[in-house]
Amino acid sequence: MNELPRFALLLLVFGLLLGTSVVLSRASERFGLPIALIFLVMGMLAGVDGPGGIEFGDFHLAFRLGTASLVLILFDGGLNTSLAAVRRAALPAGILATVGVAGTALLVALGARLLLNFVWPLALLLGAIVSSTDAAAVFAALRGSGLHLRRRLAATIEVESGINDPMAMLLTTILTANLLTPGEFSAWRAPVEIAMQLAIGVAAGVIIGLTGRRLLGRLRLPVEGLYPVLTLSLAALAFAVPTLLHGSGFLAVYVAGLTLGNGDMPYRAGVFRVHDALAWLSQITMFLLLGLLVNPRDLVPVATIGLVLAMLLAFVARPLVVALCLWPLKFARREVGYIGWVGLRGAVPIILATVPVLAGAPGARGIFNIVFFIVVVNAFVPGATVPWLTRRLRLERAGGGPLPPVLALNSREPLEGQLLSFHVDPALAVAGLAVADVELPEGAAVILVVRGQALLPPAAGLILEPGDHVYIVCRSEDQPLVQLLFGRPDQD
Amino acid sequence: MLSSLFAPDALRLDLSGTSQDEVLAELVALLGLDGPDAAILQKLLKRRESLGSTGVGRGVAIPHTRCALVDGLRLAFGRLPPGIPWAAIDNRPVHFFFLIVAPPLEVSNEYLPVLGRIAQFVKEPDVPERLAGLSAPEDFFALLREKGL
Repeated sequence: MNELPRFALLLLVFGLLLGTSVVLSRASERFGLPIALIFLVMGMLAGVDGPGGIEFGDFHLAFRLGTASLVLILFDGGLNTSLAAVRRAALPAGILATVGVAGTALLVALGARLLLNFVWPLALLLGAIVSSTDAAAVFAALRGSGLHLRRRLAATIEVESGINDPMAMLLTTILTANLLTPGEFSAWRAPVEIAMQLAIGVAAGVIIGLTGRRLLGRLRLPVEGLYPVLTLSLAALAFAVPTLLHGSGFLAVYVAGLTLGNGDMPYRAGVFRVHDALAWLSQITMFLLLGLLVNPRDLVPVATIGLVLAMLLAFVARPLVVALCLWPLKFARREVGYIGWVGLRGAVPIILATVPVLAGAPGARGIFNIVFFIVVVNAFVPGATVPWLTRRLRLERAGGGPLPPVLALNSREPLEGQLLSFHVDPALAVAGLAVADVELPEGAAVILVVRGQALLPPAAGLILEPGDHVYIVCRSEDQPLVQLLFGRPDQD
Repeated sequence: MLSSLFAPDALRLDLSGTSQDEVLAELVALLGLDGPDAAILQKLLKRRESLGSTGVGRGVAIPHTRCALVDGLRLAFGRLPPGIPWAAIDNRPVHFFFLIVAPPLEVSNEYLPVLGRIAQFVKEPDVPERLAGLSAPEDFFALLREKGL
């Protein structure tokens, strides 16, 4: 076959898999299943044991594409995380992402050693691989049920998952090296190495993020479409530079996204939309590829081991470690229980499981299959219980969650002033008042009210009803008064 | 006049609460409410705080709500010398609390104007310092009068 038809065939398969995955993502809303599971199953169906029959066993390509996808997902996660959320959750998320990850890894390793008779180096490696969580899985499960978590809780889960992948990656690399050359890493050297990598990662992320901010502010690019290309290049640099300097590129890319996202940016809404789409494309591609990579019939022999470890992770390791990590902080008991339960696993453990395979470590293929099995089980328990538990523990956010904006500024030049949107809750001072009776500062005005599907012009007599979304333009210095009347903006 | 809306005993310059719940309870007590009524009002104030802090910056918070337990607009002021984190807009601890409670239906429609006037008052450059320097409740009323409130 000629090269062109061969490539067209490849694109045909890719297009079909991608499109079907997107269409089927609605099923996740209907059945409350993690959306990632659908993509993963699609990949498995397309694979060698499914009707698709595609043979794919290139761990190298899977690792590279998986890493690139993770970079885009983490960058997008950083862009969309507000500094307020980081401030709210820095301490608990920081503890969970470091001590928590190490603790979870140790407990899973202990279980693998004592219950399943794994040798210590393999048990520890397995523990490290499954130790990091995926907030996107939690939020996707909640979004499908129309639920929005309390802010501090949501911020803790989100920031934890943004910064715990680097720790899991470092542990996996160190333990893989240890498996290949026992004693290569002494117990005292590992914490020093980890601290150094994390420090370099944070520093590089901040420097690249701040440099990017200045660059974006000063450059006058000829067309709007080049701005997301520039931010994409910053994401690539934020991963590559610290990695080459022996730092954590994953942490750096998240921090760079955070630094960029919390500053002024030309065509902000457009740039964010591109990165959001890239993150989704990455998510789907990554899961499809990982689904293709595994041979479902290889999972059968590891089913018992995988099930035991998945239960150990869900019912013992994660809840216990979370309880210990959050014990000194002022979290309600049900919040601690919730964070402990909803530690969903995403694609990261599967990508991490390719590290020992690529390094040629003994027993690595078995570990890969076990990890894959754990992630799939984890999607059901605790994955499928997330919406139910959120309602049961009454952890929904007061006032509901932010709606996607119907209005957003999209300007090359930084504009003076703010466009803010607010959800009208009955507890707000303005609820039930007419627009004319809302005494806003001189430089502020209601410019639009969205009620259900209707766009309402802010006529003086229009009553602000609970459930409305109000759009206000104001000067930055008037924001405190506007927030006093309308509460926290959706953008926060 | 704003000063006329504060009952003379609705002022305390030595609040001592160490959590949001404790501070709100102290403020509610200034309105002479206790028992279940106080608990209801406190819950309403907490609900409002959960929608976004009423900490407007510079050490000031203006907790407010409508509540059927009052038949007219009621105001209270409390000062907490050590300060407390209140998720304020400038992330600084809050020392000064202006409590506003309005009935669900107001004939005079004063709730929002009063909220706005207090917010404007605390924006004046010297106000936080002057509030910190109050030594007796009369000084508070004198300050309001001086500012034309």
